[in-house]
Amino acid sequence: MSKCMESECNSYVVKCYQCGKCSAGCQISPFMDYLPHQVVRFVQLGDIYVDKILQSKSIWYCAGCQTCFSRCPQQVNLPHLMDLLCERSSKLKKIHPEARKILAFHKSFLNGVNRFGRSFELGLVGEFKLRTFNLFQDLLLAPAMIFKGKICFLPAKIKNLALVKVLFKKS
Amino acid sequence: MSRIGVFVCHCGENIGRTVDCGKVALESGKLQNVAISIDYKYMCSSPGQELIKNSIREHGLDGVVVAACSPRMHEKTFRGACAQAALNPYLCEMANIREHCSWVHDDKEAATAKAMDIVRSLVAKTVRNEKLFPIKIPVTKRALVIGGGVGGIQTALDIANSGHEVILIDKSPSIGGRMAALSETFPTLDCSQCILTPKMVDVAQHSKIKLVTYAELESVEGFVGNFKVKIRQKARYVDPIKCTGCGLCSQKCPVKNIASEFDEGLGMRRAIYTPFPQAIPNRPVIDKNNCTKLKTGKCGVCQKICQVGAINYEDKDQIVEYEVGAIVVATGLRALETREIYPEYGQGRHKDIITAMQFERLASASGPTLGVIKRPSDGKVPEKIVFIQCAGSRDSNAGYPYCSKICCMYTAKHAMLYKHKVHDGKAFVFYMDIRACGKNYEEFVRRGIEEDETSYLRGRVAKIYEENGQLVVNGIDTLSGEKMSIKADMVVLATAMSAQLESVHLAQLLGISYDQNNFYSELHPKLNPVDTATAGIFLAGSCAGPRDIPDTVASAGAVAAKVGGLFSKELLEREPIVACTKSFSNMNTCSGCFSCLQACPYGAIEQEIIVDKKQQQKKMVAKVNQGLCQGCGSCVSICRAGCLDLKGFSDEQMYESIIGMGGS
Amino acid sequence: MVVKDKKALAYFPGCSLHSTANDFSKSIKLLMEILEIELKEIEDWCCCGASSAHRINQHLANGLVKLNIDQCKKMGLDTIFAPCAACFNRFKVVVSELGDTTKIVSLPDLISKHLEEIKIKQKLKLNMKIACYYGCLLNKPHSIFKQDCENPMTMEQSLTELGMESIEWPFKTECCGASFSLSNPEVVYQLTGEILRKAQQRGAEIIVTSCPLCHVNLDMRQKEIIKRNNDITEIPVLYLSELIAICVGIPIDKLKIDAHFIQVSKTFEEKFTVCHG
Repeated sequence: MSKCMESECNSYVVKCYQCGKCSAGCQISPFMDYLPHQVVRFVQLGDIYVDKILQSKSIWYCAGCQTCFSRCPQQVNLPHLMDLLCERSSKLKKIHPEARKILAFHKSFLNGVNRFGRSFELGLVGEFKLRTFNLFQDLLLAPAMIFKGKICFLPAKIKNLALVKVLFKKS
Repeated sequence: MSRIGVFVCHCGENIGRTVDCGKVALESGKLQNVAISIDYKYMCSSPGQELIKNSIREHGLDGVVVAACSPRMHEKTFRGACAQAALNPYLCEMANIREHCSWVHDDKEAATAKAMDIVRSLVAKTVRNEKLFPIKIPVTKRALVIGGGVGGIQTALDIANSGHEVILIDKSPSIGGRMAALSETFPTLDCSQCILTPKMVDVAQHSKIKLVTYAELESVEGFVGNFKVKIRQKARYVDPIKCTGCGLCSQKCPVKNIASEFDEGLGMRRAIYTPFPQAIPNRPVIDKNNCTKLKTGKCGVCQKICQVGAINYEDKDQIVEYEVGAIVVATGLRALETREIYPEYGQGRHKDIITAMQFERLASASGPTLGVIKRPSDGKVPEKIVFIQCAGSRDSNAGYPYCSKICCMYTAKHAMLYKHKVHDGKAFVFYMDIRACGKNYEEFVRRGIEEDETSYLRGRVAKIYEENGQLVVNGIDTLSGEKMSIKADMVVLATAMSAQLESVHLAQLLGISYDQNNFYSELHPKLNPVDTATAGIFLAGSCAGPRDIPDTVASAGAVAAKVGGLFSKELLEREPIVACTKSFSNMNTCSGCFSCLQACPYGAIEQEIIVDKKQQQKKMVAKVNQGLCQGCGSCVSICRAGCLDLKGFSDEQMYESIIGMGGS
Repeated sequence: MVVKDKKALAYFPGCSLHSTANDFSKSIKLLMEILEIELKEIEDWCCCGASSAHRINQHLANGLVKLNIDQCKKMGLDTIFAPCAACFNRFKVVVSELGDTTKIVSLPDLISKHLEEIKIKQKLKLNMKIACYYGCLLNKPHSIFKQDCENPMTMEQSLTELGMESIEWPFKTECCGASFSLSNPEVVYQLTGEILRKAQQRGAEIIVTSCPLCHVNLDMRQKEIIKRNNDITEIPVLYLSELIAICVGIPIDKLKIDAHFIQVSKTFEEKFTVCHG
C-alpha cells in the first residue's frame, strides 16, 4: 500500500482490540468472506495479510451503513477503512471476481456523473449490463418503471461540467 | 566563598544514556564555589549516599547539589543523608537532569549541555540557601473516615483498635455500602452479609468509634494533624435515642411504592424506612421528598403509631464541628448508568435487561425475591441468561477506557450462582478477555466453565431486541468466527465501575487531586498508594479506582497503619517551606492591600496591627500563619510591595538560579 | 411553536429525485408549497457521488459535495435541504470533515421543525399502524450526528403529535442493502426481507420512509421478496412527505403514489379520517 494510505489505515486499526462488535452487528456479513473484525485484524498483521484483504469480497460488500462505526467502543472508522481498501484494491487490480459486478456498478455510476455531472440511471443500467454481461437482470421491472414514469430517457447535463471533470482528472 | 559538592547520578542508564555524566561532573568541578564534584551509577543507593556523607565530612561542604531525578522522587533521601553528616538538610538541592533532561531528549551533546545548565543554576541557588528548621505542630489524635462501606468500616476498626478515636460518617442511613447488598462473594462464595454484618456490629459497639450516618462532609479547614471539619447531619425526623427500632412505623406508612435504593429498584420501600433489616444503626429515617406529612402537612401515621414518641417532623439538618488529625476518604464507587451509552442494547425499553447489582439483589437471600432468580417483567424463572461483560468498561467511545477489574470475577460468580439455583438453566457470558488475576481467581473461573457449564463466548454484543417475550442477543464468538444470536429470558450487564457522582465536589472540599476518570489520585501509584498529595488525607478502597473486597480491605489496613504512624508522635514536623514577611532594614513594607489574603487557598494569611512606641495603631499588615501555609507561593507572586518571600525559594535564590542558568 | 420568518432553503434534490424517485420529489414540492417554505434549487447542482464515489475515490467523493456547497454559498444560503438520505449523509459527513458552517437538514428534521404549522393545517390523519423506517443514513455515524442512531424517534414523535399510531420495532435503522439493489439484488432480498418481516411481526400495516434508496428496495423489490418468503405479505411503503401531504389536505391523486410498485389498497383513502382540532 502507499505510505500515505498505509498510515491512514494504521491509524484506524491500531486502536482495534478485536471485540467483534462490528461483525456481530453487520447485516451484510453473511455475504462476506472475512468478517469485518477479521478485515481489521489482517490489516493489523500487515504485509501479505493486507493483500489477502485487498483480494477479498468483504471490502466490496460493505454497504457503508455506519452501524459498526457508531457502535465501536474504540471509534474505529471501519466504513472508511473499507473505502480506502476498495480504492486500493481497485487501483492494484486485485478485485475479487465476485466483486467485479459491484465495481462495475460504481464505475458505470461514476461514468455517468463524469459525462453529465449527474447520474443518468438509464445509462447506468445500460452500461452496468454491458460491463457484467447480465442483460436480463431485472428486465421484467423495466416496462413497469417506464410506465410509472420512473425512467428518464434523456440525461440531464449540467452547465458547469468542467469543474466536475477536473475532480475526476485529479484523482 | 562557599564549599559546594556536586554529585551527578547516572540513574543506571536513565540519565547516563543521554547525558555524559562524567563530563557534567568534570565541568561542574570547575565552577566557582564548587569544592568537589563526582559522578556515580546510583547516587540514591547506600554506597551513593555514603559517598555524599563522606564528602561532606572530608571536604567540609556547606552545600550539596545532587544532579539526578526529580526532587519529588528523592529530595527526602538526599536531604536525609546530608542530615546524617550533620549538614542542615535544606542546604541540599536537587538538579533534575532526568525528567527535565535525559528522558525528554535524544541528542547526547545537547542534553549534556542542558544538564550542565541545570547544575549551574542549582549551584548558584544553593550558594544562597539558608539553614532551615522543621516547623513543629501539635496533632489531634482523632481520625475522620468518610464512607461506611467495607473499606471505611475496616479502616475505622483498625484505627480504633490501635487506640485512637474515629468518627465514621456515611451519607446513607446505614453503614454497609455496596458490600451489604451483595449476594455471595468470589472466589469462596461465602455470603456477603454473613461476613460483613459482624463488622458492622463491631463498629456500632466500639468505644472509640463515633458513628454518624445520614451525614455528609460540609467543609474542611486546617492541615495535617489539625483539621477542623464540619459535618452536615441530615434531618432523620426520627430520634435515634428514643427509637427502639421496632419497625412499626415502616409497616404502617401509607406511602408504599418508592423504589428501594438498596434493592436497586427491584423492590419497594416506604417513606419512613430502614434500608435493610440488618442496618446499622437499625433506626429508620423519613425520606422528606416522599413523605406526605412533610410535603403536605397531612398524614402523621408514623407519629401516631410510635409508642416512644421518636418521630419529630420538626427535625432540621444540623452542622456539627469536629477536630481531627487525619481524614480517610473511603467513598467507594458507583455502577455506571449505561442506558444512554448503549442504545443498541435497549436497556430501559426492556425490563429484563438488568444490571449486575440488580442481579446481586435477585440472588441475595435478603433480596426482593428472597434469592429466587426471577425476571422483572413477569416473574418467570429464566431458562437462559446472557451475561455481557465490559458494559461501559474498556469503551473509550463512551469515555470509560479503563478496565473495571472486578467484572470478570463477579460475572463468573453470577453464572455460577444462577446455575446453582436453576439447575436446568443455561448461562452464556460474552467477554473480551477473562481477567482473573488474584489468588484462586483463575481456578474459580475454570470451575464455572468446567463444572457449572457456563458458556463463554469471546466477543461483544452488538444489539439486543425483544421478540415473542424473549430477548434476542446478537453477538459473536470471535474465536470460532461465528456470529451468535441467542434467545435469552434475561440479560445481565456487567456495568462499569465508575467514580461517585459527587467525587469531584468532595475532592474540591478536601483539596485532593483526581484523575481523568474522577477517581482520587494517590501520592504515588506504587510507593504511596494510600496517601494523597495533601498531607493527612488518605484513600481507602475503590474511591481511588476499581477494587474488589480483598484489595479494599488491604488498603483499609494500610491506611490505618499510616494514620497510626501519624498519631504516634506528640508533635508533627513540617517542612519549613513556608511564606514569610520580608523586612527591609526593620521596616515592614506591607501596604495592607491584602491581595495575598484573597490569593491564599489555605487561609494562612492573617491581619496584624502594627503599633508605634506610643501604642498607637500605625497600620494593618499581613502575617503568615506558618501552621496553615502550604508553601504554594501564591501570596509571594501577587504581593505588589514585594514584602513576602518563600523560604527555600526566596526571590534571591530564584534570581541567582536564573542568572546561573544563563552564564557559563 | 410556529416557525416564523422562514428563510429560503437551498434545495438539493439529487439524482434520484429527478428520475426513479420523482414521486418523492412531487410530494416534497407540494408539501413545501402548503407550508410556505421556499425551496431554491441549488443552481446547476451536480451529483454528490453517493453511494459510489466514496468507495473507490475519496478525493472525488468529497470534491463533488464541496462543489454543491460552494454553489449554495454563491446563492447566499446557509441551509441545505437534502431529502434523499444518501445525499443528506454525504453532505453531513463532508461538512463535518471540512468544518463548514453550512447546515444540512433532512426531511424528518424539517417536518419536526414545522410540526406546529402542520398541526394547524392538518385535515386528515391515517388510521393504520405505521412503521417508521429510517434506514442507516439518516442518523449514522454517531460521531457526526450526535443523536440516538439505534432508536431514533423523530418521525414517531411527529406522527404521534399528528394523532397517528406508530409501532415500536427494533429494525428501523438496519441496512436495506442500499446500492446493492442493482449489483447484487440477493443482498437486498435478504436484508430488506428481514426488515419487512420484523415490521409486520409487530403489526405494521404501512411503512413510512424518507430515503429513495430504501424506497426502491422496500417497494420495487418487495414482490420478489414476497415470492421468496411466504411469511411476508404486501405492505405499502409511503414517503414521509407523501403521508404528511395527504394529512394537510393535498388530494391523493395529485401525488404520484400510483407510481409505487406496491399499490395502496382501494380502501386506502377510507383509512384517513378527519381531524378535529
